[in-house]
Amino acid sequence: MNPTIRTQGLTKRFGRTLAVDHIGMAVPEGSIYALVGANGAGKTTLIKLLMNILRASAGHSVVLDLESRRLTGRAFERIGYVSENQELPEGMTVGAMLDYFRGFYPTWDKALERQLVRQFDLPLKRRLKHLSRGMKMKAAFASSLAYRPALIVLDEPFSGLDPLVRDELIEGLIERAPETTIFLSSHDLAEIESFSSHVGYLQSGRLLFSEEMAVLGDRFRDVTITLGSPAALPADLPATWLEAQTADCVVGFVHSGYSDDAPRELAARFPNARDIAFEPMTLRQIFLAIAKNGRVAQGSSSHDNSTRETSARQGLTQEKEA
Amino acid sequence: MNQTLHIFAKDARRFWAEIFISVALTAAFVSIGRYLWTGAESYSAGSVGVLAILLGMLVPVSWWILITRGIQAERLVGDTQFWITRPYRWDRLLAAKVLFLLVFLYVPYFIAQCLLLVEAGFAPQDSVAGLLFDAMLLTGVLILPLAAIATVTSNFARMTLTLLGILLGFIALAIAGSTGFSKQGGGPESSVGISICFVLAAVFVSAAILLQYSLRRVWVTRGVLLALPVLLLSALNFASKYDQAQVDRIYPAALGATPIQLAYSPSTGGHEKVTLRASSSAMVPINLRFAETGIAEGYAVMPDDVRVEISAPDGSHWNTDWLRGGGYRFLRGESQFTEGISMPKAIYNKYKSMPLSVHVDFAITQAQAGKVTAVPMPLERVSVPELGICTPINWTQELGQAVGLHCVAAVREPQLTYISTRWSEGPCSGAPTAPDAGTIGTGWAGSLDPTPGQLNLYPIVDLNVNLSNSHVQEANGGSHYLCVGTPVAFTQYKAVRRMQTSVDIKEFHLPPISVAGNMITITQ
Repeated sequence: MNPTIRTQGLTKRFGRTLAVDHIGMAVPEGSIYALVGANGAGKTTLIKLLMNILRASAGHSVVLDLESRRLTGRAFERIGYVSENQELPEGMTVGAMLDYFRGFYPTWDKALERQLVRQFDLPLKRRLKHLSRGMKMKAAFASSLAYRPALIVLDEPFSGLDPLVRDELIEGLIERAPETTIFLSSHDLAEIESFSSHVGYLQSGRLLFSEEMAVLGDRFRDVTITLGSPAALPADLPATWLEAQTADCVVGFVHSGYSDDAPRELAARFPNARDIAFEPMTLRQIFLAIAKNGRVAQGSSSHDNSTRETSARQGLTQEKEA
Repeated sequence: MNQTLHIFAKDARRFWAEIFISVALTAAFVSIGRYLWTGAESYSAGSVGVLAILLGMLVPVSWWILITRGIQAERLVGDTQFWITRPYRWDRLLAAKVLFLLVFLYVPYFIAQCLLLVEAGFAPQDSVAGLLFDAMLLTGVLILPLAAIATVTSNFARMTLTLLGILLGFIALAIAGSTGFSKQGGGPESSVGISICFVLAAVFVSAAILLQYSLRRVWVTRGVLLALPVLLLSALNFASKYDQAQVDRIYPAALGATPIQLAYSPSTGGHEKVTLRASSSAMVPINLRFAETGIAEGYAVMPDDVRVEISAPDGSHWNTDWLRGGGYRFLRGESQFTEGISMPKAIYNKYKSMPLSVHVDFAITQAQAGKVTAVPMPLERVSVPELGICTPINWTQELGQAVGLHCVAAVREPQLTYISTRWSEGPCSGAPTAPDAGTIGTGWAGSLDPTPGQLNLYPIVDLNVNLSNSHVQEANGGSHYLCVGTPVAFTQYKAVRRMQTSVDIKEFHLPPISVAGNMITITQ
């Protein structure tokens, strides 16, 4: 089965700024892929490259078996794209917009349209320019789901929305999940954790990891080691240990390469350990650990970015490489 | 096609207000537009005439708004537009916009032109070719440039600012043109080069629009459009040289007898003084006076272009390019005329005290009289075949006491026509002026090589018939009259020969100039 989206060496420069840096990724068909990263990490740029809104400086990407740069016209009959920055035909009413878009899609499902209108409680006779931000986003969702696209691409779709609207949108999205591939960017980790099947982490334009959510959850552990006596951190910390610190007799770190062998390996490294505790981590905790690790590395070795990135990638992609 | 119609229908619904305003303005213009060309009536039109002029300006403004709104409904600049991630096909989108302009701009324009023709007394079906030519000019000069700018600007405000910038650029060029560049007079009569430039610009702008719709590479398209003025300036330079070469090709040197004899005829009477501001006197105007004779009966001769070469005793010389002549049209008989050139002041200062040899080339056209149509002077209006419609000019409400003739043509100038009639010496008594009585009044209308159309919202061309001897040459002045029923003859002329002839002037002295303050006076 071909991935719905795949990229290779995808790069985008804006002058001297490297916004997207040699990204290679694959989004499996039927997955709900969440692209996470801090503001300015390059998520929107990456999505615009995939959607042929921007042109890549190097590398290439394939979406639904079509080169992104050839993604025009009829190719969008199979893609639903919603972005927080996307403009809508503001002069139209919601009903007129749906009527208008209906003419572009042979697969438009009028029954589904009615269902979405009901589900999102859309005011058909109100002009889009008079709608709240949440309502506009719901209208955009409805107009992008009603034709049952094979791929739904969402760029920060929940940003700035109240929890109620977010829940409604997520619910609408999850209902479509069995028949489509969903690719969304967000920094709202708590939400995407609840329904994403895959996650990719983008930092400063580079994809630090891209894997299944379950595998990621298995790979990261919050480790607390209680020692028999106070001890300093070993000098040769593995790259997979993030945020390592020690206080008195306790050593703590985030293990980004946790496996069944980890307890035995740690017991061997800390022979005077009285207790070794492994706590599963939420996506938010994983994200923060990675982000902090990146910042610390950036601060300590800003003169040598390549070292930092190499170190971070070595640790964070260990599972994938394995 | 479905997608084209789908987008078109959306635009038609969305911009109904803009469409309504544009069509309403066009309709209003049609209803009072006649005050712009109905001759005598326009003098008494007053505020209605002013309103007609205002509407004539507002209609293109409404087109500008319509074009901008229509094209920018699917903005081509930016990366957040709703439509770029929808199944829009660029060719269908472009077709929808073209259809939008066809239906809501060109069709009302075409209907308005037809109604205006009907109102003026013309049959529109006789002027279809001219109307289409007008539409082509409108497209090249107004619609395409506006559409191109709309494709590379993101909103109406930016479009307006861009247009203002272009306007300022034109003003700067015009100022530079009037002060910095050497001007010896107008270019030659032949202007094929200008037509080539027009076509080139239209093709270039169309290509920019296609490029922007197909690729949406805003900076590439902007680059293409910014390159256009540079290209046009180069093309105009080339066109100017081409037109100069065309004069020598179209007007070959005369091998045998020429249809007109020309001779230098210096003024023997009083001297004429020309006073100029010092700032505009980088060029010194020089007038050369000639006498013409020898034109055969049934022919007319026109000196279309003039070229002057001045040689000094020291062997140096200076010459002009081919310049447009004074627009004279000569028939059998003798007359004198003046051709003017402008000489750079430095050249003038160099040659002012020398006896000079002047060689003047004339590019002349010989035209032969053809069909003559005689119509009696009408009370109100008369249709003159192959010319247009003529109406008497009355100074008072009283009909039958015409003091002139006003003629209009449909869409374009007619073939060159000589108009002759007899003035009554006094107010008309009801009877026509006899062929051997009164004073002869003659005039010209039309052109030997009329263009197929013109860029004008009004499809009616005012022929500016100025009959000679309209005023009584007596101390108490007054006017002659054209009485109802007096025959008016319209004689068509067609070009039969074009050639060059020349006049040599020996011992010519440039006229003296005197400077007072910032004024320069030339006496000649």
